[in-house]
Formats: sequence, structure tokens, C-alpha cells
Amino acid sequence: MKDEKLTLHDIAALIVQIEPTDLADLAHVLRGLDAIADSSPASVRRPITEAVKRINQLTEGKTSDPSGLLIEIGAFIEEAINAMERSDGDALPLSDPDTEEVPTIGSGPQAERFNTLPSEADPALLEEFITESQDLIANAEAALLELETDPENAEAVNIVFRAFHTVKGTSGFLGLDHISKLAHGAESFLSRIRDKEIRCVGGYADLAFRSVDMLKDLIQIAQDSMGGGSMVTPDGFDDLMALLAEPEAAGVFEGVYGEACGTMETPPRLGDILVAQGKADHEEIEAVVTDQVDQPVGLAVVKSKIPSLTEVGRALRKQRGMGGNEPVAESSVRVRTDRLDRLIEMVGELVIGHSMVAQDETVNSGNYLELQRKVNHTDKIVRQVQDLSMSMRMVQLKATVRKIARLVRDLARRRETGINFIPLGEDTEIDRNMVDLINDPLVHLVRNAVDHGIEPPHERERNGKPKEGTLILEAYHSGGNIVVEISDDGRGLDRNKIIEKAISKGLIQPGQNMSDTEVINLIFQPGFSTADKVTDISGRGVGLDVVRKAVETLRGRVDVSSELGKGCTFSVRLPLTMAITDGMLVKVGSQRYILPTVNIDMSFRPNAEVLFTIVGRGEVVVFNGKVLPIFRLHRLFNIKSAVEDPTRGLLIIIGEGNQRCALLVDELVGQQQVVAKPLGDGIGKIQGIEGGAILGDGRVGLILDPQGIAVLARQTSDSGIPKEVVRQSGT
Amino acid sequence: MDNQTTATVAKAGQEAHGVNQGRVLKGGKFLTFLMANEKYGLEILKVREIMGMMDVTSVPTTPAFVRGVINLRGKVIPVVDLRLKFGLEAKEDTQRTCIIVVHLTHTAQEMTMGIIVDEVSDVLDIDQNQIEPPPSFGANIRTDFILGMGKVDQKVMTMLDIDRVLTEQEVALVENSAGKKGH
Repeated sequence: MKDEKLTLHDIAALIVQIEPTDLADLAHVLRGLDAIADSSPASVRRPITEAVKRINQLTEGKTSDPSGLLIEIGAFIEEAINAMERSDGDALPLSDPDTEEVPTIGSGPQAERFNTLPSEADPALLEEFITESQDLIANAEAALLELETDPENAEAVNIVFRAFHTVKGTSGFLGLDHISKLAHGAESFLSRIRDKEIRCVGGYADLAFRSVDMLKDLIQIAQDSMGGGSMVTPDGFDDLMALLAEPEAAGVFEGVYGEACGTMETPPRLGDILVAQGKADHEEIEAVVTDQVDQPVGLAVVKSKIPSLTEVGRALRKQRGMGGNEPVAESSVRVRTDRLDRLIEMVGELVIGHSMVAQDETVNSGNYLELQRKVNHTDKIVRQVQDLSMSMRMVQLKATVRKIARLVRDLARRRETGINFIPLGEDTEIDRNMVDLINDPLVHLVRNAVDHGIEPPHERERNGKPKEGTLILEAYHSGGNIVVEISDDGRGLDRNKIIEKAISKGLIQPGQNMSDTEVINLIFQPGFSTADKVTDISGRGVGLDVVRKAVETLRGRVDVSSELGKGCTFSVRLPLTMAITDGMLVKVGSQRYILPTVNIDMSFRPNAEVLFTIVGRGEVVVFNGKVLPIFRLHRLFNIKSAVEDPTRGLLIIIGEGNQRCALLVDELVGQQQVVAKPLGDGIGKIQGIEGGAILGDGRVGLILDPQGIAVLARQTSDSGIPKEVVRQSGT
Repeated sequence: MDNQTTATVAKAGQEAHGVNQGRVLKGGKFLTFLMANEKYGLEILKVREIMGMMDVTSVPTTPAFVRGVINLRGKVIPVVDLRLKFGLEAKEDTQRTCIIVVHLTHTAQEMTMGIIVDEVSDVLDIDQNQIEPPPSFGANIRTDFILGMGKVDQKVMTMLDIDRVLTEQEVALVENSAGKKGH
């Protein structure tokens, strides 16, 4: 496979782009194939001969379906490539964990320049990965630009770091070696910035930008080759890898502005590839490329040049009618979620508006039967529209679970420990918005469980556990929340080890007295990691802090329960935001509130005999033999003219475990399905209130958050009036 | 040319008074409303709609000036009682009491809020030369949420920087004074 000769991969790339009528190109391909066939074993020659036969048919114009023929030719070339690979032994290194650590520098760049997508890669997963990566890259770029003006911005460093970290993880298990390798290299480099060993300025900043650029190119190439085309490793990939491994050796320092980078070829964009393939307008691409060389890597290049180049590439492909090879079959349409939200809101309004009409006296007077019938008919339609619009947002967790199952499998294979993955409740429905957001935290948690939780087989055997670890992912609805639990039967959290680690990381002082909860909280600190060594799987200390942050922005929380030596369970609890809540409408004074039905254990009107006071103040009720505190909602919320006497009101038992308590309200009004909505940005988060919902009469009802209420009640002074107004800034 | 001059004028005004460094107020259409017999103006572009008084669901543990939340066609938005916000006496709602729905941009975050005012009067065209920079009263009366004073028909009205009036930081500041009055 010499440079001047066409390789099978070159030909495959050509075939993808060639026009059936382009005789010159076809002849070029024919010559290349002949040359290869001469020097190849019989197994390679056979498909080549078939391909040649078909090309001849094309050139002689003997076919009615030239495009179909081209696809056939492509298939034969691919077969030839496979045969070639078999005969060459392992000419193309596939995912080999050992190569992850130190990228081979400058070795065999020709052999690796072309690569096909791993055949086992699921197109859906791949597509998702590409979209996700593009978002991450965009964020990373923005963060890098911010770093240019403010190199001390630790949050921005983290964003870039996490972007590469996430890309590394997913690309690793999709078998996209180059991407994974690059991400790993970049991550190692960035971790030096994060640890404040070096600052993201000068040559280092340029290097970071170049890494992002390269990643962008690689992702673009992966996307372009989804139709089965070849993946070209851009020139300069190996150089960049070498730079990332040892920037100083190549003369990159804080003060050096891109000089070291300048001495090397600028990494090729899509344009170079197009030029190399002889498919792009040379002048046009070259003009853009020269522009880039002169400019420092910065905002201008990142923002303006590359997208245009990408588009040039795409447009060229389209123009020449090669788009046919890209998967275009779309059975779904991407809709901006804010539009979907708006639609659902409007449907909600429609329902309310309609119920107002339906309840109108005129309709119900019985004098206009025809009108009544029409209203009933509309009623059915409105209901269907409502159901439909609701279901548009709800999706099963299956896709996420499947992705995780795949991840676990790959992780297990790399670690050579069998892991039993047991998914439960994967048909639990979750808001479409949440699926995207819940994915990253779950992936992190699963990686964490596999890498830190489940012990190596020999250690497990020593502890009398089955060699195979077990990982359970369970999803269910509880307390108006969606809970996803990830349990492993690994070593569990080691209190002493965590404390030790936290001290060595400077997170706490030695000799601090800490409760178990406080200790567990330490693992959610940024930069905390109990893993002793950095591995490809996880363990750079990104992870749990990211998980917590992601979940908290969804107004959820992460709980950990762990037993040393037995295992560990992370449970991610997320509010339903848009999911439908089954609520109980309760009345307190003049106010009405919605209490999620799932939170209600029991409601009853107490007798005087079961009510007691403690030191004259704290009220308790004896319920099923248990003593529970009574919290008066009207006192917590300062509502006047509510029922003061518990024997004339209603006690509702809410909460779980030691948060269990009885809430005093006036009465239950009835049951209602509502859609939880945020209270609006101007008002922020309010303790004890989960959100608002539009009630049947068009007014806003507030949805109570039992947990928040319990917390609020315990913060409140004896008089029952909040010590201070509890307000948190809105997000 | 015209823009340039107005900008310079406004800038000079700012420097002279040392307030309202945030925005340059140009002439334009203003929605005017009454509160405690005083006239106020809002840039019309900030206003989304005007509604009659409706049922407001009060939200517990919020400052007194937050009247509560309303349903704006399926969206829940907070409503602020501007009287209480400015530390004026509370007043019973009347037939004329209105909710003005405004759209704010605050640190790249957009929000929609309602403000309760005594009475909406009309929309006025006000020229740049009818607007004066806010007077300085010293430390006792804050003027940083005032864009300027409009002079129309020999009367003076206060042009509000509604973004600043309603955004969080400002809320906290006014909260204290309102709180003192209330309790």
C-alpha cells in the first residue's frame, strides 16, 4: 500500500463520491483495482474482479440503474478490504485497551489513516453520540474562549475537561478509537490545567483549541462516514497526540503563542480531506485554509471558518448527488422542546377552556340537546388531543437502559470481570426532557459502580462473593418522583478511606468529627476520587460532583446508601417537572393546595385521645402505634382563618422513614390530575412548594413538596412562624 | 446623526448626575399608569399585555410585595404588587386595578412577570427632549431604578427601569425597606 498507488480504502472513498457518468474517475478506479488485484491473494482478487466487471458495465452504459450498481461495487470493495485485512493479519488495530494509555507517536500513520466505522456500532447510538458530542464541543469552545480572557476560571476548565471525558467514555465503547485516543490525550493534558500545574494561556490555550478542533473534525468525519464510507484520520492527528502527551518537549509553553503549533502543519479541516480526495474546489478550499494559517486559533477561526468548511464539504457531497449514502430515513421529526412545551400548555388551556364551555348553564340546561351532543363530541376530541400531547413528551426509559447495558458489557469486558446487569422497570415513563438530562449522570454512576464499586474477581472470591459482580438498575415512580437506583454488590463505601482521601485532597482537616452523611457527602466534592489509579473507565475525580450538579439542576437529588463489603446503592430522585401528577386537592383556610397522591400515606380525623403535646408545645399524634409529629400547614404558611383544632380538621400522614409526620389541613376537596409547572423565574425556589399547576377553574394551585414541608417545619421556631423568609435565588 | 446627539446628551446627563449608568433612554412610546396619584411610565416594548385584576394564588413564605402567581394562558407567572414594592401603602383592589405583564431580560435570563398597578392610563409618545435625568435626593430616596423623568402637559412622570425594579438583586434591596414598613 504505497502512497502514490490507490489503496482499497482510497477506492472505497472514491466510490462513495463518484458519479456514475464520470468516466475519467471510473477509469482511475479501474487502474487502481487492477494494480491491487495483481499483488493480492485470491481471496481479495475475487471481489475485485466482481467490482471490475460492474465498473465495465457502467462505463459501457449497459445498466438502467447506475446508482444501484455503484452501491454494489462499494459492497465488493468492502468485501475486498475485509479479505485484505484477514490476509494481512491485524493490519488495522482495533480497540485494544493497551493503546489507550500512551498514543503511539508517528508510527504507521499511513496504515491508520483510513478506517471504517466499527461494523457493530449501532447507528442510533452513533447518531446520538455525534449530536451529544457536537453539543459538548460547542460548550467546550465557549468555555475555552472564556478562558482566554479569564485563565483562572476553574469552572470553564471543568467544562472543557468534562466534554472530553464524556466523549472519551462514549467513543470508547462505540469503538471509535481515534476519538477516544484524542479525548484521552486531551483529558490528560487538561487535567494538568485543572490541577493548576499549568495555566490555560499562550501555547497551552492554542493546544486546547487545537484539540477541540481535531475532535470536531473527527466527529464530523464519523458523521460523514455513517453511510458506510471510510473514516480518514486527519493529517496532524499523530502530531497533535504527541503534542498533547508532552507539550513542553515540542516547545509549547505559557508564553509561546502558537509558534510551536505553527511550525507544524495546521490540522487539516474537512477541506484538506476534500482536496486530498480531489473532490473539492481547490482554490476555494485553499483560500480558506491559508486564511486559517495566518490567524491565531481563536474566536474568528472557531466561530466562522470551520462551520463554513463543514458546510462546503456537505454541500459538495450533496451537489454531486452523493447524499444518498447518508442515512436519511427519518421516522421522527426533531421538534424544539420549547415548542412542544408551548403546545402542551396550549392544549392544557384548551382543556380548561372547553370544560368551561361544557359546564356552562346553557349547555347543561337540557333545553338544547343538539348543542349538548356537540359539546360532548368535542369533549372526546379534546381529551384525545390532551392524551396525545402528553404522550409526546413521555418516553420509556428503555433506550437509556439499553445504552447502559451496552456500557456495562463493554466495561466488564475490559475489566475481565463478568458483570450481571439487571435492568428493572425499564418501561417506566419519563419526561422526554429528562431522558437526555438523566443519561449523563446515570452513565457516570454506572462507570463509577463498575470501576470503584465492584471488586476484581480474585478479591470477590476471597470475600466469599460470586466471581461475577451484579449491577442492578431499577427505575420506578415514587413520591411524585422518578427514582432510578443503581446498586452494585461491590465493596461499598469505606468511611475511613474516604476521610483519608479527603484529608489528602485538602477537602477536610484531620481530626474533624463527621457524621456518616457528611462523610458520604465528601464523595460529591469536585476533584474527589477514591480510585488509586487513573483508568480509562473512570476515576479522575470527575463524576460524582458532575452527577450531583446535573441532578440538582433538575431539582432532584442523589442519595447513597452503602454497606461496607456488601455493596452500594446510588439513587437518583428526580421531580416530575412536566410529568402528570396525581394530586389531592386540600383546603387550608382560603387557600387550596395540591398534595401529590403518592406522598399521601393516609388521612384521618383524629380523636382527642390520640393527640398529645410534648413540653407543652410540640404536638404529636399516635398513629398505628407510632408517635408522629403534627405540623400545621396554616402556621407554616401563615394562612389565616384555617381550622385550628385538629379534631375538626384532617391529618395527612406524609413522608418516609424518619421524615414521617402528620400534616394538619382543613379538608380534602378532591382528586385532580395536574401538570406541574415552575412558578416562574422571578420567584425562585420556595421551600415546601414543588411548583404550580393550573386547576380546573383556570386558577393556579400550588403543589406541595412534602419533604420540603418537613424540612421547613423543623426549621421553624416553636411558634410555628418561620424564623425568616426562606428564599433562594431562582435559577 | 440624530441618534448620536441624543446619546451624547443622555451621556452628559448621566455623568452630571452619576446615576442610571445602565441604559440610555431614548424617546419612544411609553405605557403610563397611576399609582397613589403619581404617574409612571414603562417602555412599551417591555409590556406584553394588560389584564384586569384576577384571582391571584398567594405563595407562602414570599415577601409581602409578591402577591402570588397567576395563570397566563397555561404559564404560571409571578405577580408583584408595585405599591408594596415601592413601600407605598397597600390599597384594596378596585375595578381599575390592573396587571401589566412585562417581559424582562436579566443577565441573559428572560422572565415574564406581572405588576399590579392602580390604574393604567394611556400610551404616550415621548420625545427625547421631554425626558430629563432623574433628580438626586441623596441617600434617602433611591433613584437608580428610574430611567428619567418625563414632562408631559406640564406634569412630571417617572419612567421606570422595570428590569431593575423587578430583578432579584433589586428585590432584595427593596425587600428590606418594605419589610421594615410592613412589620
